[in-house]
Amino acid sequence: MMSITSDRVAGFCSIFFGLVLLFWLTPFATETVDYGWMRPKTLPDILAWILIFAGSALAGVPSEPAGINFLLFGKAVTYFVLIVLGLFAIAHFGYLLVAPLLALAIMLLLGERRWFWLFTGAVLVPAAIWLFIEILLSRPLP
Amino acid sequence: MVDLNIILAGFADAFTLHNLLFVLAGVALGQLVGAIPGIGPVMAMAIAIPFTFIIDPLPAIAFLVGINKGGLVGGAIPAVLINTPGTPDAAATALDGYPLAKQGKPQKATKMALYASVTGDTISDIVLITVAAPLAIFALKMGPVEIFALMIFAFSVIAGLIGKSVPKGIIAAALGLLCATVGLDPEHSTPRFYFGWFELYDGLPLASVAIGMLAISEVLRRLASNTGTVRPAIDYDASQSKEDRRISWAEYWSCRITMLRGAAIGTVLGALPGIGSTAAAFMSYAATKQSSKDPESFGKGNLHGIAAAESANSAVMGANLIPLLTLGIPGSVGAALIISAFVIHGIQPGPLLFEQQGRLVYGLFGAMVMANVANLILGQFGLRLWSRVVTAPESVIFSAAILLCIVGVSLSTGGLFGVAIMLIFAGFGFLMNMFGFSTVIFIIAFFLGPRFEISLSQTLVLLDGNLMGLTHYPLALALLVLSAISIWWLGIRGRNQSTNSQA
Repeated sequence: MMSITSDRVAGFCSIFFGLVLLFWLTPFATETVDYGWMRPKTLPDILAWILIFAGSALAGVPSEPAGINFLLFGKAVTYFVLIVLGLFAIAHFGYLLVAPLLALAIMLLLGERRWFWLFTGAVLVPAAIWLFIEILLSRPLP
Repeated sequence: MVDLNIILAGFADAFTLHNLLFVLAGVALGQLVGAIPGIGPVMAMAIAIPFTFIIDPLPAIAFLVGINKGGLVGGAIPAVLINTPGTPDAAATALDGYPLAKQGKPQKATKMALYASVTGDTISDIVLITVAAPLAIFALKMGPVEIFALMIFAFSVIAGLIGKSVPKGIIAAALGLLCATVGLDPEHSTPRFYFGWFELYDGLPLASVAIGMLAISEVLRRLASNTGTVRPAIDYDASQSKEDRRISWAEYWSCRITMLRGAAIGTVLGALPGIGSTAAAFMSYAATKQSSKDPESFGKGNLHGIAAAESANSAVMGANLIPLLTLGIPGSVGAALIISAFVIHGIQPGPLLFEQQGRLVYGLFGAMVMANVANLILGQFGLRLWSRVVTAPESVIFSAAILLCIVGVSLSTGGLFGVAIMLIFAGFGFLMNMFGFSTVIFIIAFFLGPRFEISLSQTLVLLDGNLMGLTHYPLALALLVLSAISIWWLGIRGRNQSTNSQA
């Protein structure tokens, strides 16, 4: 019986994505053109087949029986969500208000508790970026 | 033939205190902006061009060239120190630079990057100064068919970077190529995979994809691996021996073949418009890794890896000016900005430039030589400063890196849409790393993709679909034979050797 390894998971994902690309994504997201040597769907179709074949090879003969580190994955997702929320906040409230809070949140989550470094990361660094971009380079910040 | 008096007069024009100050200012600004992910020297040049209206042509162009050259060194600094390439072409430098910095030798790693960068740049400048015209004629012979064969050759070099699992390497390359198909297709100009987002008509922005996959995904990995104890981003021991802080002459000299190879790859690719320094850096890295007696040490802090990448990406800069000065064709965005500075000052680059403005051209060459020296001197101070900065706690360094990436990508792509793309690719890059796929192969394929597809399309049209027609293109045939040799040499032979050494 086949064991579940990260390579097998990745291989099956590749096959699945190749099939989705071939039968749904490419027909949906490219225009039908019936002339020329390289049609809009030619390269995506070739790549879909490559993904299916290479995915089959990977799922069939995994090169290393490595597992998935769910703890690392969970922590990365937490930071990722925090940055995405920060980006949404920047889009609504602007860099000047959100950047110090985003930097502070990341530092606190990392375990930083020293006032000097918290001040440096949450106040001095965002202020230096603002000074350099908006004042020195005269470019608008988001 | 240009008169020797004109050459000497041009160099004499360049070597003045006035010009030297402009070159120094340009190099300092270039190193600073190059070290900020996403901003880079191109944006700094674009901002600086209006300010050069009020100065004479030579100092104006020297200033812009200084920014461009300074950016080459600056981009390597965050790549080596925090695995966050300041510019996409520095991504290959991070492969060995960052592991060496993590071993507590950040100064050694950045100094190797600096020396290799200046060496590669100087070699390509010498080629530019001495054989620009014949090289430009060679570059002009590269039509769509030859460019297609060159793209095949570039992809064949990826074989050297595939690593343990061939299917994973192929999947990474296929995904990179697939992402490159987003936007208008090259033959019919119909939109593909844009899902109603008109911002994607021009394709996925390189800055967003490269910084997301290489920089933010690495920051995410480092943040997630944190165990609750805040440590310095780089463990740097101030009392470490001199050998760990500097590059000895013996170490530099042992990299001479690597740097020469890198400079040759960078110069040839730089002379071809549109190929770019990212491809040159990775091709040089792959070639060096596979020709090494100890390929297993690459990716673990090998000085040759840093030297290969930096010499090649820096060599592209000088060579980019070959088609610009001789044919009036800019080889890159940076060269296009320099061409606009020429035009602003009433100078028309092209075949007659050496005859009509010979003195200015040789003055520019003099300024380039000065910029290389300035890069070396200013780099020594800058690298020492940056090496100290990254001894700050990783909480500060990584939060600053995230803010810089957000701001830099927002500026280079013109809004937060590019930042959103960056975050998507950061997540994707993290997953790829987690499952053991190479993000570097993905990026190379993504970078070469548009050029590959358009040249394939043009080739099929030119040959009317008959590949036997390739026999009429000897240069293309030679490149295809080289590709086959490269796949065997870099891929099959390299893997067999690696398997045998493990057994």
